[in-house]
Amino acid sequence: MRGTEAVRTVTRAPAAVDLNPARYARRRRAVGTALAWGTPVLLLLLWQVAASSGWIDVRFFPAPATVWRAGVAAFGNGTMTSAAEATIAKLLIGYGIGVVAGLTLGLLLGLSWIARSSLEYTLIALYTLPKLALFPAFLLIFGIGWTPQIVLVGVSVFFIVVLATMTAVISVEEGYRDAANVFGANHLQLLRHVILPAAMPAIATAIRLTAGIGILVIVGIEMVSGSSGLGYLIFERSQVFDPATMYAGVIVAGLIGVIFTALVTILLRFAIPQQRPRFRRR
Amino acid sequence: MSTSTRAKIFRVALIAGLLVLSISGVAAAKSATKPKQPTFYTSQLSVLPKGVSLSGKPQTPVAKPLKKTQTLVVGIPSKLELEAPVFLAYDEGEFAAEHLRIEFVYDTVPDLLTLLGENKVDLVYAGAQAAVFNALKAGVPIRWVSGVASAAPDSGLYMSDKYGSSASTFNPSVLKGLTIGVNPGGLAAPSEYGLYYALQKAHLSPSDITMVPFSDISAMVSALNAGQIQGATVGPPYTAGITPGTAFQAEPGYPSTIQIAGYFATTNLTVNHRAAGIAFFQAIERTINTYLHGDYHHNPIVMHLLSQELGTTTAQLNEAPPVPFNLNVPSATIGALQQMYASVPDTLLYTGLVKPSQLIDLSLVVDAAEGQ
Repeated sequence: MRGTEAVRTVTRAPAAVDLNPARYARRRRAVGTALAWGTPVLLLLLWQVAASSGWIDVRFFPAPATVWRAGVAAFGNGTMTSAAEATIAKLLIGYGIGVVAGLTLGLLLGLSWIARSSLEYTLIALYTLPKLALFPAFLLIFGIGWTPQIVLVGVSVFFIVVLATMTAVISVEEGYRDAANVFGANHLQLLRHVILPAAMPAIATAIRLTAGIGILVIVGIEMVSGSSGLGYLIFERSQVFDPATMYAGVIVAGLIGVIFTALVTILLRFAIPQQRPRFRRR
Repeated sequence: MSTSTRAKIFRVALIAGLLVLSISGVAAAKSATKPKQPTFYTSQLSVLPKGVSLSGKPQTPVAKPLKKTQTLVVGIPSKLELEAPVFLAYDEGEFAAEHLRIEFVYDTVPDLLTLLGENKVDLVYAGAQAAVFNALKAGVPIRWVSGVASAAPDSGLYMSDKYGSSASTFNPSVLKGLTIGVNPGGLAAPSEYGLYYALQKAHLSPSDITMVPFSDISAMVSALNAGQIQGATVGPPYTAGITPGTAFQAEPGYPSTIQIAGYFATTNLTVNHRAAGIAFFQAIERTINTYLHGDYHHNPIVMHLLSQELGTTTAQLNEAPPVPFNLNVPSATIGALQQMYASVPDTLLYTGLVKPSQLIDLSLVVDAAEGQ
């Protein structure tokens, strides 16, 4: 007879996250922090052991201790400090210009079908061009010095931000726009209270990703054509067979990339309130 | 003793003396025409021995095939006319005649020197950069085994026409405060010797000018033409890109008393695989003697081969003069280059100078020239 099927009961014992969520979150954060710091420390230890045991040729791949001493010496005599300052300055200026220009144009393209139809595919075509190959043209247009390098960073960041912003704005649900229109929102109110808050998470992801791209581009172009910055220091030290200082420069560039990305992430956390719970719990 | 006896003795002594003189004369004549016994230079040779010439007639030195085919890996940083001997030797089968198989590896000079130090390449064509000296002092058994060429007549420091019109009228003291385009590495690279020499003449130091490195030499020439830089160190074929009327040659590349580039190897080649090293330079010397001597730009076959190998046209190759190939490395080079490198802080990473006998080893090219 219907209605007499066996009822299956599923029981689950409470997990640690259910019994004490705060303690569980603290432990997870502690384990995550330990792994985040422990992994590079373990890699450094392995590198030191390999150098000390002769598994690697320390004439070409010096031990971490040697790299540390070379880095300290380079900071001491000012070469690493001035190189890092030059790179950071170029990065901040180029990245800032790229993000602001990308956001502005991306919003315009997302909101205006005329602008989008005119520019979308041109931007996609330009985006796929290898930027380093365009650098000689930048040299001719902007001259030598910092300007062409800053422009290159800005251009590299701009294309990613503009396309991501445009896509994020287009992707805002029609239902949100309709609801806002029903409540009598004008264009500015629609943009400020509906479109921007809905699109910001995707835009923030693009801005966060381009932080790493910015450091890659500036160090890369300084290696190819520059007379200042970490890229130039790395290249110049490789030219004189000074691998210890060269690797010290590489590590400093990596640290700057990590710190810069972290700063951008923290800034975005304040700018996008709805992303805060995700950043805190994961 | 009677007069007749003395006369007999005198006649005998005279005949004996004449015989001895004749025999000596014949022996001397024979030894003069006998080929000089070659000497095996198994130890490092930092100076070209007297009477030894690294150039010769076409088709010399004759090929002496190795008993078993051996492979040599040769590192090349870029394809320029300076590397014509190795490419032409490969194309014309001169290496094959020695039972040598050549593999080319293309990379930057620092990477190639690393590969050389790890015995992953056998020979590297490079400039004698500061890196070579630092590597030697760091324990890499690197040896400068041959030169490449004397300075091309059109290479050197080119200055904007605002600062003169010829080398004879150029006053190097105007360099102070100017921006000069240089090759990557700046004064850590020997290609900048002309600039360094100009600074020395004006009693200036490298910090008195702004050096802007360009990895793209064409871009550097464009910047010079556009007036974005006031001077640049340029060599062929890029000198052809300088717009007439915008710049002049203020200082030649380097004097004939020094060499700035060539082939580098380690003791792995000069000691452990010596026969292959000698065979390599036999092929190189034979190629230079046969195809690349004098004004070889008038040889259409050679120019066609070169243009194909270097990825350019005969017309473009003819815009620069022929390269004066010269495999010698004068010992004065070592002191001159170290003096230049020492003028820039943190370029030479050691104390005490490298002696010519520690770096230069011409024994392979000499043994090849002498047909060993």
